Amino acid sequence: MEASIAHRRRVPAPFGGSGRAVPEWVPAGLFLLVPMGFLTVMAFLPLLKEVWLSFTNARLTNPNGGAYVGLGNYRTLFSSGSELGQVLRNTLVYTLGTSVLSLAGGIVSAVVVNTKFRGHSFVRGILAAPWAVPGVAAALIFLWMFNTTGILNRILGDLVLGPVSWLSSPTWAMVSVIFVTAWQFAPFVMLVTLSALQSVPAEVAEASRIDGASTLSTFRFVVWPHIFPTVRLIALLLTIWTLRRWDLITVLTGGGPVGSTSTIVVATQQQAFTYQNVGQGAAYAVIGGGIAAVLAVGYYLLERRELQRAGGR
Amino acid sequence: MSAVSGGRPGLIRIRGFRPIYLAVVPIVVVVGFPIYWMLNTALTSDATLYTKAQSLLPSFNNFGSLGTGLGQIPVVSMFANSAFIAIGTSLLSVFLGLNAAYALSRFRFRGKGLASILLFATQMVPEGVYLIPIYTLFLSVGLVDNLWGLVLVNVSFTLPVSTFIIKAGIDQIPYEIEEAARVDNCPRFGILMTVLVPLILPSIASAAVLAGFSAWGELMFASTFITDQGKWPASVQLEQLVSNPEANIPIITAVSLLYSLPAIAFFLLVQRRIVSGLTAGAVKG
Repeated sequence: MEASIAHRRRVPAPFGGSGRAVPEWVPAGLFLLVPMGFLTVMAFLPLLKEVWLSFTNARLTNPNGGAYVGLGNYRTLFSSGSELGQVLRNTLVYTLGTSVLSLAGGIVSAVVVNTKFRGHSFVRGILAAPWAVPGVAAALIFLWMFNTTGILNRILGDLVLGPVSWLSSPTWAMVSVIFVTAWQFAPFVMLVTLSALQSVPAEVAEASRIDGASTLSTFRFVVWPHIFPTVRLIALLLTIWTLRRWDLITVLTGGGPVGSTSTIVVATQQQAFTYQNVGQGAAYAVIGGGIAAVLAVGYYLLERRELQRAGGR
Repeated sequence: MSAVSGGRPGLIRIRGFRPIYLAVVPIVVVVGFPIYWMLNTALTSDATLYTKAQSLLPSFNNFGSLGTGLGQIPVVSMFANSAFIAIGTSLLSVFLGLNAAYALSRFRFRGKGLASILLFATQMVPEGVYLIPIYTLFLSVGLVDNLWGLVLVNVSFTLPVSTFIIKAGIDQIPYEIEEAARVDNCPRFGILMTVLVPLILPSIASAAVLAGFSAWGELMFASTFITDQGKWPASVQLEQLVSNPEANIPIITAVSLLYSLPAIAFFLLVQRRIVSGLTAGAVKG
């Protein structure tokens, strides 16, 4: 810890006051003390506690009184007949499905809204709104629309598919929760993509058109490369957000029917609080946290590379 | 799409008949319909809901039964509880975030990278992971079934984002502005509060809205921790209402609508800032 160098510029010791140099970590530590202390109590220690709980047989009735059972909970999870395989498969399908659908919907919306037409800012408002709808409210309205006698069956079902039991058939239930989640996430994709689109230099796009490129190939070869880094970043962010999403599934299907929409977070909560098996739930949580960690590291590395390419911050 | 090009600032410009509407209309219908349907259902009479097909156009004859139905739900207290959690989370998250952001933006010290990574990491962990350990923690300090407890939980999820958004704001402010105050021997915390805060109000506002926003809609911890019905926020109340087999659908959708509108309004108001803030928050690891 050497004498301070001012952030981003080489002014002599700006925080040292006049002459007498207080090392910078002192005030920085004071400012960080409360926020980091808070996170230590509310996040870092609970995380460690969760890992510990996953090695115990704690029950909800006495969550601190579990005995150490080694890898017992994990052995149960990986034994045959465990739900883990289904839960992981659901998590994968849900995460991928939602991410792909949100990306596709969001990017198409962004391209459309980026076009000048009458009322386009009104349209942008409508397309952005679902992101702000609280999860429970979104789930409830779709619950009603997915009802066997609901509007969706009246419009789609009768015309195309015949009445569909959207939420009580395992396949359709997954499709339905993916659709609702994407409905909530696509607006975010749209807004971020839109700002990336607006930063495409107009001259470049125009030059490509003057050279005779079609709208489609202008998009493919000029616009897309420009927005791709943004899109890739949102894609990773989306997978992490979807992995965490709990409210929509819980209200729409509760993880059913027969566990067909139970993702790792749904299973965690259910094990711990419905079946009161805290240790087992913690094991689920640790696996979920592990998946998130892998994604986060990928995201972080990608992000750092982008920052370096952009010449640091 | 046979979009005729020839644009200036916009990417694609279309003249004459606008085929772009062929794309706009279906997208708007798919995205906007559920919100419209929320309104439509709220205005439908519960008595006829299952007996005849729900009209595609809203009717305005059922305000009476709507009022009666809403009267049977603790609408005021549930929204008050949600507002308490949202506002509390907003304030605390912004205050803590401000301090952390100042440290990360203005000082250079060993462990700064670690602090950033830790902040970044908490953002990535699924909330469900914390459910059990925070429950046991709250059991031992008596914060289960307590709205303050929910505020703390929500802050632990929003603090990293608040910090990154505010840090991005502080990074924009030249240090020289603080220097004058430093010369006058003003304490740093005072400088932060009186000199910097007024300059970064937009960042603070978007951090506050975003934090309040996520607390306003939070369900997992609220439904797991709060058992006293008088303390239920709107999210839990709605979840309970719908689990009743004799649920009154128009009332539920009316409440959902009331619950969504403030969030939508806030969001549209600060939309641009929030998006740039969120990406800054997500991006500046």
